[in-house]
Amino acid sequence: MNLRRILLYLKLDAKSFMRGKTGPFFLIVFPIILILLFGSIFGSSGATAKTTLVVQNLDPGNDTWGIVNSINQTGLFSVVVIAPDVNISTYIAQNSIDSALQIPENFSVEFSKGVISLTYYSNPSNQIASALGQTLANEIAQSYNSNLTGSKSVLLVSRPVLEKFSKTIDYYIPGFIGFTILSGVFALIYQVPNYREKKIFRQLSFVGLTKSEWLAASVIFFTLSTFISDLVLVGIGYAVFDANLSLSIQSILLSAVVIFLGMISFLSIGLLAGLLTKEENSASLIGNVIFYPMLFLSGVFFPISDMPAFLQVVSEFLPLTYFIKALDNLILFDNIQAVVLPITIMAVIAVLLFFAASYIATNRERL
Amino acid sequence: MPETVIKITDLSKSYGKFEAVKGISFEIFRGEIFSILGHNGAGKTTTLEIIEGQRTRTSGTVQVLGMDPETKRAEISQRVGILPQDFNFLELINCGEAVDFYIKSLNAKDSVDGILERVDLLDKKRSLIKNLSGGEKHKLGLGLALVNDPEILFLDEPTTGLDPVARRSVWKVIERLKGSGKSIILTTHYLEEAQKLADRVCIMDRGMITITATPDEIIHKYGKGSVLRLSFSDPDMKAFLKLGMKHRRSGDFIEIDISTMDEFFSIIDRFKEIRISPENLTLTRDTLEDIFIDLMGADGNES
Ligand SMILES: Nc1ncnc2c1ncn2[C@@H]1O[C@H](COP(=O)(O)OP(=O)(O)OP(=O)(O)O)[C@@H](O)[C@H]1O
Ligand SMILES: [Mg+2]
Repeated sequence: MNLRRILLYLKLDAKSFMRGKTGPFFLIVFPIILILLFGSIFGSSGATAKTTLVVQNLDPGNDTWGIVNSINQTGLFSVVVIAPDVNISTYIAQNSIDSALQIPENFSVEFSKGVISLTYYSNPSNQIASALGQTLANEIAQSYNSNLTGSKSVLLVSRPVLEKFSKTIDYYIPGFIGFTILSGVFALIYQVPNYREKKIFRQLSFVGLTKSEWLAASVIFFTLSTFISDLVLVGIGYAVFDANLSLSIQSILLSAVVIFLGMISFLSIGLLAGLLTKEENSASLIGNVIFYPMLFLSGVFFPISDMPAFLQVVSEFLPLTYFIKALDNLILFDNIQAVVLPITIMAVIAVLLFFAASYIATNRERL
Repeated sequence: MPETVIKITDLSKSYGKFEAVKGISFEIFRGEIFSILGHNGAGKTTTLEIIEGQRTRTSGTVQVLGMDPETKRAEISQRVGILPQDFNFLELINCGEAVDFYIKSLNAKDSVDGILERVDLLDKKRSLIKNLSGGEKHKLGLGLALVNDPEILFLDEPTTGLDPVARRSVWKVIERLKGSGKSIILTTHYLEEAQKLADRVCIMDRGMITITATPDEIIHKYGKGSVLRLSFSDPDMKAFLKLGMKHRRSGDFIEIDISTMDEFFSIIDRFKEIRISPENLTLTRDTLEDIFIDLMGADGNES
């Protein structure tokens, strides 16, 4: 490995990239369009999957089960009950929960006065979770009214899961970053068959540039370009949509690690596809087969909890899902503990994929 | 005896069952232009790539500047320049940047303008490679091969696909290089090119070398000498035929084989004596092309 040659090639590669039709578009323009477009629309499909609802009862005088029962009757939620001594905000943050119901301490007192008072936390970007709040209130009122004499009104205090979630753009940013990571699939997938066909690897070898050096330069280049895209993305989020992420030094550094590992993983997948196919067309087909399902099923644009159950299962098997979850935990909830294990697993996956791809790339006689 | 820069002995290369090169041997000396002539698929590129260290060989030995290219490829590539048959480079890079990349990567002392100047491409310094014409691209490839002042140049069909003007301009560059003492190994389909540029030529046919010699030696040994082609008006023709001179008919023309200039002058003298004068007269020497076609047949099969 000769650093000087790597940097010289990096310069050529960057020039080619910026002069290409798609290069600057993908680097800068696309993330802007993405965030402007989806940031403004912020909509999701009307899927009917169950949302997890966390229930906490702070009122010792109340039998929670009546409420839990009535919630279960709605069929809209799967209920998780947590102990009264747990801090619900922390719990929501740590477990990345979209909706939670808190039964306040004075529930029984209010109830006896004919008021049902509850606090409902929901993630406003998860439309279903928000909409279900109202349904939930109605259902509870109905079930109480039919069980008890005298009508009761339900007072449902709606709260976002976190105060700052009044701006939903934050919720989308990890997904958009996931998109830039996923684009790593295309980093080398076309270049490899193209260089092979035009014998550019051979031409580069005349000045001593090895395939390992070429790969090192490519990795540096796509790491830089991914970070540039992501900075643009977050910058616009802040400038246009008043984003407000949990950006501590730790969460920024760990996010950078997650982005890097994700980029390496997808770049390696694309490299493998490029190496194992004969021409650009089939490589591109493989790239798209990898790209689109992941794009739509990993929670980049649509929250996973909104998807039909079987697709939720599929998404569990897509690596991008974990990169986005990790970013969620980091830049939305600043939840460092939650990502230590996932990052370790990601690192192992990235290393394995990268070594497999670079081994094949550097050991083929005629590339 | 001049210094040997390349020596190959009994070189063979098989692709699977197909034997592309079948036990060839030759030597190239410092400062000479050595040309490998052959039809498509003769094995020229395969031979060149083995010498350059880009392909493994099946058997035989190869020495380039005293080193085996299979094990010393990196050292050798510092001292040789290569123009591949199908030269290509990053499409969205301009000529100046490509040369600059070569110079810096090889730690060479050349200047970008100097290299471009040598291949008449200075006016295209800022043109992207994808916008170059075929001839300009060849010249750029040649320019890149010249970076770092190589001792040996490998030029694989440097003029194939070029128009006659572009071809001559590439020839000019090669002739200038010859003057600067470089050893050049050049493959070509064009006999004219080998005859014009090469000190020695080998003819390669289906993986074997049939002849290695100077162009003149080949013409002398295998050529039919010179041919005098004449045509006469009808009365003159009758007079000529009465002379009983040995000749062939070729359409309306008379062809007479000539081996020396004296022979030619004596024929002209005879014509003067009987007062006939040809309407047309041409004296042609065999070209390498004629010999090549004679030796192999126009379709590449030995006759
Ligand atoms: N990688 C390969 N695998 C199999 N056969 C090959 C390979 N490369 C070349 N050949 C075969 O070897 C023979 C010699 O090829 P080569 O490229 O050396 O010919 P050439 O003399 O350079 O021809 P041309 O004038 O067309 O460039 C051809 O029949 C070709 O089909
Ligand atoms: Mg060839």
